[in-house]
Amino acid sequence: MAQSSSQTQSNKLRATDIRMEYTRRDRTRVLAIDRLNLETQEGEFLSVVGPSGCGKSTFLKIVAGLVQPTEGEVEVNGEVVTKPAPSRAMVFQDPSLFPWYTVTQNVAYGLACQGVSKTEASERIGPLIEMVGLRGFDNHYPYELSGGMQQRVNLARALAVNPDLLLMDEPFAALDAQTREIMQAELLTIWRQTSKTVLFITHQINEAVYLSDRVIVMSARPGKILDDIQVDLPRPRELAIKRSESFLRYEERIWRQLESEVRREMEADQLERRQGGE
Amino acid sequence: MVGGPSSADWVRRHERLLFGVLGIVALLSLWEVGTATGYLSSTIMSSPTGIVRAAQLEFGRGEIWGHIAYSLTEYAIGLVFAAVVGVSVGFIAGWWQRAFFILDPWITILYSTPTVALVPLLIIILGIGLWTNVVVVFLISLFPIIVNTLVGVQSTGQWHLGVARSFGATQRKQWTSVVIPGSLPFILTGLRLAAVHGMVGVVVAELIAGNRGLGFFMNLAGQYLQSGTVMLGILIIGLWGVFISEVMKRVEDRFEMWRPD
Ligand SMILES: Nc1ncnc2c1ncn2[C@@H]1O[C@H](COP(=O)(O)OP(=O)(O)O)[C@@H](O)[C@H]1O
Ligand SMILES: [Mg+2]
Repeated sequence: MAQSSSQTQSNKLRATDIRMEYTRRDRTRVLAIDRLNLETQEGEFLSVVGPSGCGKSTFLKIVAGLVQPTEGEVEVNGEVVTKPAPSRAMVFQDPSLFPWYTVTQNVAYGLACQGVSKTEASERIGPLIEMVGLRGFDNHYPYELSGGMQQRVNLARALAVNPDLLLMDEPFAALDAQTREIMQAELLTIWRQTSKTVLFITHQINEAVYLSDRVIVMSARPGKILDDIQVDLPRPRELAIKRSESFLRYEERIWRQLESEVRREMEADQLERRQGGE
Repeated sequence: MVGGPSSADWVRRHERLLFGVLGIVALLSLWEVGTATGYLSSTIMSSPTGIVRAAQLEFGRGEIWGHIAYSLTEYAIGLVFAAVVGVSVGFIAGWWQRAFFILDPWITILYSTPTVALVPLLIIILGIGLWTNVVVVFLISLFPIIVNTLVGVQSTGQWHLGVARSFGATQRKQWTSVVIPGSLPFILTGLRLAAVHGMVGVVVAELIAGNRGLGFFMNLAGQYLQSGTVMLGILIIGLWGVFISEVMKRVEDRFEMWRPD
């Protein structure tokens, strides 16, 4: 409707010519990301898939403001990212909850960092804990929870600061297959309720297609964009959609591009190891 | 028959305590019988009843209380100073790598020096008395605290700090929410070791250079061949050690509820 009114407005996130070079401890350099350009729309669920080590986490950390790119810049809501901000909340991979805090304390963490009072924080996180299905576990410590429950806490912790961009780095990678599927479906439900823009990193094609409006396929290191696929599957999506023909066609298309990349990555790895062994 | 299974249950539940007590009773009996029958020399090694008699005598006279209080004072002062200095130094060296590089050689050298070897030097500097012994306790308990705190801070992962930063935690908040709670288990371990080492420190220092205190008391009794009294001293120190480690274990349990055992 208001498409022409502001091109920059609807671009939630814009990454321009991102290049990331790490210097390892032994002074050798790794080019993790090479010339990455990406834009997302407001409210979009965008996934990035790629072989491991291709710079996905690095890209997410750049968007979060946790690391600075060697070249290029990321704009969120038209502003250049220089440091972390509550409007961009991160859901990390597995063990990122603070083990010394209870569920409530973990979920309230971002609010505590903003100086929100305890009473106000607990009012605000009550419904969230309910939403992720953790009522009654408020005073449990992370070690007392299953992996799936821990990731719900993780999600609630990110949602608590009411971000408009949710950054998720392989949040379900460590879960068993069944739990993972259930968490995917729940994530979609929560996403519908909260209408946030999501940048979701995964190495699972199936997961990316099921969740996303759009899937970005990254090449092996240094990460570049190989493909940008609009997923036109109807929403809301039941888990059963994963067996539909159109779903499988999306999977097939992505897999074909990744297969050669994974091969390349493995060969590069072997070469590196052989050289390192000398 | 009714009592049968439940008493078996009781035995199983208290197995550990039961067998522990059994072992002690057995050894004490052997000891008593051995000295009573003359197979063991009661002059050299006293006997359980000999220790009881010594206890009656000493506590009756009352002087022993003064010695105990004196030792406890030295212990408490030394340990409190060691805790304050040790935790601070540990945090500094654990957090700033340059500080670690500077302090590491000193910590390594001093940790592996037997503190007791410094006693003659301390006597020259401080003379014989309370402060020499306090310094021994301080030095002997300082290094376990420094080293454990240091390791604790270094091992609080960059990972959790990254999470904290992503939520916009200030430096201060990063310390109170990540560094301190993450290293607390290590610090408590350091304190527990220090509490035990410190006790050894008091006694040894007093044995070498005391004019009061439990170590001095035992030394004196030893010179008069009062083996019962010496054994009484050992017993008191043993109970003290048990008490201290029990207390420290409670404290650790209290602060580590978040850890699976
Ligand atoms: N802090 C770092 N220092 C050096 N190299 C790093 C660092 N972080 C990541 N890398 C390297 O950059 C590449 C991309 O890493 P990452 O972004 O974690 O990949 P992915 O998340 O796609 O598996 C990898 O080869 C990794 O070894
Ligand atoms: Mg990663």
